[in-house]
Amino acid sequence: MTEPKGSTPGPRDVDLVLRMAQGDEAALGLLYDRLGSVLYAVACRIVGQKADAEEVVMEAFSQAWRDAPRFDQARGSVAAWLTMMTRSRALDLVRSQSRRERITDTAAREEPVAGPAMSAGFPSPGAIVLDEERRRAVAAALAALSVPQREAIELAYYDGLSQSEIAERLKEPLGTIKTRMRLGMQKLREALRPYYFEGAA
Amino acid sequence: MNTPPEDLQGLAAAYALGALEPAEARAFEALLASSPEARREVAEYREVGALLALGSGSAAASPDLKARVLERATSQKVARITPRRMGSGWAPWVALAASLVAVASLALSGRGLRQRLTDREATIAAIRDSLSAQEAKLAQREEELNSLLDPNVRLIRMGTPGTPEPVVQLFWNRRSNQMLVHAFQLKPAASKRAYQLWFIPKNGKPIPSVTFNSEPGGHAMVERIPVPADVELAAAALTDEPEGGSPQPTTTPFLVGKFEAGT
Repeated sequence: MTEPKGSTPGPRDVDLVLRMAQGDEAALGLLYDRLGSVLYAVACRIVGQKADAEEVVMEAFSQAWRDAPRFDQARGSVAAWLTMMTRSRALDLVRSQSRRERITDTAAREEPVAGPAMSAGFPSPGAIVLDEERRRAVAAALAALSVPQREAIELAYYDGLSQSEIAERLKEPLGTIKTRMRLGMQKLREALRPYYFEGAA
Repeated sequence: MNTPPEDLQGLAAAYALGALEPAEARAFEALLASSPEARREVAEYREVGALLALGSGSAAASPDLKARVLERATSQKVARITPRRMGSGWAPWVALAASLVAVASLALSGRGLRQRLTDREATIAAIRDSLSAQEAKLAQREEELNSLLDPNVRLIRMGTPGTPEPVVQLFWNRRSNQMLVHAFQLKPAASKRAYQLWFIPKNGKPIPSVTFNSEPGGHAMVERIPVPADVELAAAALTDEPEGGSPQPTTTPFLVGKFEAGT
C-alpha cells in the first residue's frame, strides 16, 4: 500500500501504543501531543460544548490506555483507532443528551466552543508542518466533493446518522444517499491516500 | 460470499462511517470475518475517517487538558489480561464493556444530578444495546450449530488430538459448499504473518483461500469459507504466509487434511 507522506519525528505511533500496553505513561503523553488537538477538534464539532468535548477526549484516551494491549495494527493506524473511539464517545454523549433534553430544560448552557486555535498542543515543528499539509489536503479533497456528497458524509460523521436516517432527513431516496456516500468516500480515498497517518494498514 | 465490487465499496465506506443500519452492519461483519478484501476496504475507509477529523476546524483545548487526560487514563484500574474473544473479534463486546466502564467512571466524577441522569440513560441504552447484541450473537450461534449438524456436513481433521500440536477441524457443508475452520492449540502467527488455508485439487496447483489468525489461547474459527466448485479436491492444507495472504504457498504446509471418499 502507499507509503504515507513523510513521518512524524520520534517514536512511531504504534510503538507508543505498545509502550502504553506496558503501562508507560510518558508514551500516552506523547500520543496526546500528537493527536490530542485533532481529536479535540472532532469532538467539539460533534458535541458543540467545550467541557463536553474535553470529557470525550479524556474518555477516548482512557479507553486507548485500557485497550492498548489489544490494539491490532493490521486493522489500521493508531490515528484511525483513536478517531473511531473519539467519534463513538462523542456521538454517545450527544445521543444521551438529546434524550435528556426532552425532559429537562437547557437553561444552564455552557459557553459555546471558541473559534480558531490560539495555541496548539503539538511539540515539534516537523509535526506541525506535516499536519498542516494534511489539513490542506483534507480541505481540498472535501471541497472537491459535490455538496450533496459532502452533506451525506458529514451527516454520518458528525451527526451519527445512518443512511436511512439521512435519507429521511433530506427527503431523498435511500439508494440516492447510498450512492452519494459511496462516490464521495471513494473520491476522498483517492485524493487522500498519500496522506494517510503513519501505520495505515 | 460474492459481493459485487461496487456494493463492497459502498458497504465498507458506510460501515467505516458507522452509517449502516444495525442489521446491515451485523450481516457485513459476517462477511468481514471471512473476507480479507472486505477488511482491507474497511481499514482504508477508516484511514479516510481519521483524516476527515482534520476537516473539523480547529479549536483550542484548555492547556490543562493533557494533565487531566493523563490523570483520568492512568488512574483507572486496568486488567492487563486479554479477554477471550468470540469469533472473529469484530463483535462489539470490547467497546460495550468499555462504554459500561466509561459510564461507571462518569458516575464517580460528581458532575451533579444532570450528569447522573445522563449516566442512567446511557446505562440503560448500553444495556439495551447489550441485549440486542447478545440476541444477535445467539442467533448467529444457532445458525452455526445448525450448519454443523446438517447431515451434509463432512468433518475433516488435521493434526493429532491429545498432543500439544495444533489440531484443526474442517466442517465442509457439501450442500452449501462452504467450510468452517475450527483450530485449537494453534499459536498466533508471528507479527505481519497469518495462516492461510489452501484447497489442493487432484490435478493442478493449490487454490488460495482465507487467511486468519488465532487468539492468544490458540483458538480460531472462520466461518462460511467458499469451497471451489467444479474441481475435484484431494486435500486442504495450512501454511504460514504474509498477513495479506499469498497467491501460491510460500512455505511448506504444516497441516494437511485429505478428503477421502465418505470422510
